[in-house]
Amino acid sequence: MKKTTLRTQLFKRLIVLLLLMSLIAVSGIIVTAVLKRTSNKIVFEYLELNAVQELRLAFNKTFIPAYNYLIYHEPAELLHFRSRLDSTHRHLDYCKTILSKTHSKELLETFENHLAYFENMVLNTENTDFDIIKNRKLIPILDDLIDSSTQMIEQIIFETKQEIDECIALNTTAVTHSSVTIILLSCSVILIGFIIGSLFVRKIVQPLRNLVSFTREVADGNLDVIAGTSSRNELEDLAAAFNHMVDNLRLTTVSMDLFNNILTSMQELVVVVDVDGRIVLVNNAASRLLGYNDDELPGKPVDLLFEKSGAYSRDDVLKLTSLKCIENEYVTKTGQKIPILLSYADLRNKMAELTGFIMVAADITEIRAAERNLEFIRRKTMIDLNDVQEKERLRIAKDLHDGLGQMLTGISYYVENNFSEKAEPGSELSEHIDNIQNQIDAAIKESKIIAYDLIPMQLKDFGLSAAIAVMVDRLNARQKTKFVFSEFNIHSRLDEKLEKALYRIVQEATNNVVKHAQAELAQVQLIKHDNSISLIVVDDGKGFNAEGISHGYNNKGLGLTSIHERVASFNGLLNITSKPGAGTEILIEIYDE
Amino acid sequence: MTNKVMYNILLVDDHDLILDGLRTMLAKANEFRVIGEANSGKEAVEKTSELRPDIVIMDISMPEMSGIEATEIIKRKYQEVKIIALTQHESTDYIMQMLKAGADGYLLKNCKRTELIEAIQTVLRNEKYLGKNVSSILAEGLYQSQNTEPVIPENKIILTPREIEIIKLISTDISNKEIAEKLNISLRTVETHRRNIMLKLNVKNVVALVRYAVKHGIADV
Repeated sequence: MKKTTLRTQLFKRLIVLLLLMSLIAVSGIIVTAVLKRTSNKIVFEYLELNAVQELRLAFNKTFIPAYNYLIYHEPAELLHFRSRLDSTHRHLDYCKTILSKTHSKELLETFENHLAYFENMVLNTENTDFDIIKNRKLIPILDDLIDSSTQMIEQIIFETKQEIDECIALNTTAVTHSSVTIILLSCSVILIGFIIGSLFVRKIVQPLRNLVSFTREVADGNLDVIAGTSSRNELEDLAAAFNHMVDNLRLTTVSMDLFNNILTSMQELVVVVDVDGRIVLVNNAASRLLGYNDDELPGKPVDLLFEKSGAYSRDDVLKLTSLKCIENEYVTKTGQKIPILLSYADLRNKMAELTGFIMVAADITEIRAAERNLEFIRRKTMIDLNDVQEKERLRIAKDLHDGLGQMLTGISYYVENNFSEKAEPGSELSEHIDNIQNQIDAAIKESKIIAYDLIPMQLKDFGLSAAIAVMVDRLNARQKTKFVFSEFNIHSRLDEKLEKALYRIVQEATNNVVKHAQAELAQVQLIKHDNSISLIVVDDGKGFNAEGISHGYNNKGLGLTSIHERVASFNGLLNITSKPGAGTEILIEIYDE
Repeated sequence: MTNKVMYNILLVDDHDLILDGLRTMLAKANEFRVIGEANSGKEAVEKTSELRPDIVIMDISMPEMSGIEATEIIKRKYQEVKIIALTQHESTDYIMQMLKAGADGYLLKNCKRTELIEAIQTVLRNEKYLGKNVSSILAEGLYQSQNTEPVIPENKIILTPREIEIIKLISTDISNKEIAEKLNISLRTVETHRRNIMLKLNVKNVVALVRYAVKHGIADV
């Protein structure tokens, strides 16, 4: 459809209206012309009437002088009569010129003749001798003449009056008709104008109204409207622009909906605060997990979420924004603590000014629990492995000590029984046999040593104290450091697993003393309480920096790691005190189950 | 021993090879007769009551009741039966335990035939017999415990440097928590130390502890 503009369309309609109004004007002119004609006619007729009436008047004015002359035969009267007659003639001439109708003209002619006759009759008396009786006899004839002349004039007057009446009637009708015509015409034009106007206005208003209602719908959230575009003018452009805007809005809304959806659905807790630490926005996950309603948190200070109040400081947080994830804790409405991984980001506006901070936190309760669980499983596995290992060692030790040892002894007996006495003392054979016995002895000894290294038989047979005593004796026999073992309040054996674990710990600790401490004196102390047992290994040697070993695994050498593990597997207490040059003290306490 | 009485011997060991060897060793001796063998402590007790031997050669490490336990039981029921321990175990504990249980003799398995015979003859004379290695082991143990000079005075042997530190702090009458903070250790650790100290020194309350401390110059009040 070819596009026009509202201006053009309006123009067209205005031109139509103008044409219609000019129609009125034209008909007005026509009406005026018609009315003018008729009223002119009336005027002419009135002029005629007037002229004829003047004629009559002038004619009438001749009677008295005529009669007087006839009677009195005064020259003054004759003069009078003549002048009046002249006047009448003048009027008559005037009438002649003025009268238009033929009939009137004929009548006038007749009157003229009568007048001439009258005139002659009267004027003739001038020339003749004055005869009053004759003149008196003339008077009825003159009267007749006058009557008939007057009749003529009257007739003319009458006809002219009639004419006038007709014209007036005509005029009146013309006026009525004209009025009606003009009124009708005007009304029609007004109506047409109104209709055209209304239609045009409607053509403009309707699309506009539609657009308004669409706009309202969009404001309410319905973005599926499409404005019609059939106006073929600027309104079409408006509609197109509107549709374009709605499309854009739809896209924006989709993004916004998506954004809102993301914020609502995500599992991480999002808290946005302004620079003063007031909460501006929280997402669904945050409200839910922290136990607040959606509207409770915005406006409150962010300290509400942490254990310590007054914890928020703008500059402190600015420093934190460079760190990736910080471990922290949120406090719920009910005071419960939730472990989180928290990261800060600064929020800046278009002018890069700081407007607040975004805090994203991941709930690591499950991770922590899983870690703890894993740790627990690991420990348990280690304990079980250790257990198995110990059983294995015990078995091997037993096999070595009892089995192999016994077998070797058996062989020794066999040799003793079957060869020793057969050989001559001092002979080569005797020497060889002694050699064999020595070798066997050595082998037995060796197997015992091996067995002892695996696990001392005393530990199983006599318990922890006995085994430690043996260990300490051996150490004292071989090492420079003096070892002293003391026990307090131990009247019975302990749990088998515990004894083994404590033995290994003592083994490890004394190993460390031997390897690293260069101590003069080292003590091993076992203290039994009602519900627990304490083990202390203390030396006066070199010591080491114990600062870094309280929790982690960055220990000095593997020895401490395994002690740590063993103590942890019993949920015991381990405390290591050491300073370079000030010796080392290992304190362990394990509680009864 | 010149009288021609036959002495009955019960051999107890869980290894048949040993039993064979022993039997062969004793076969040559005329006055001894092996009347039975047992493989465990339990069997030893049974066979003893059944066969009533004069002498039991007892191993220590056996299944189903050790030699030590069997010795105890037999000696309780039949005092006249002589028991000689014959074992691999060389350490003091085993020796002491066996002797405590009532063994009349203790021999190491690597002994020769002659020593075995001698042991049996000795215990038959109602004397105790200890194998030559055994005596020296015992002697050494005795020597060690005798010769151990108190390198350190008695109270210091008992208390560790850390414990002394803690006693000093306790004496200044501050709470366990404050001690923990001061020494940068956990509260639990402080409590453990306290317990150990009190038990070692055999005191029941803080007052006695402080008194001890003052008395031994550990703390001044």
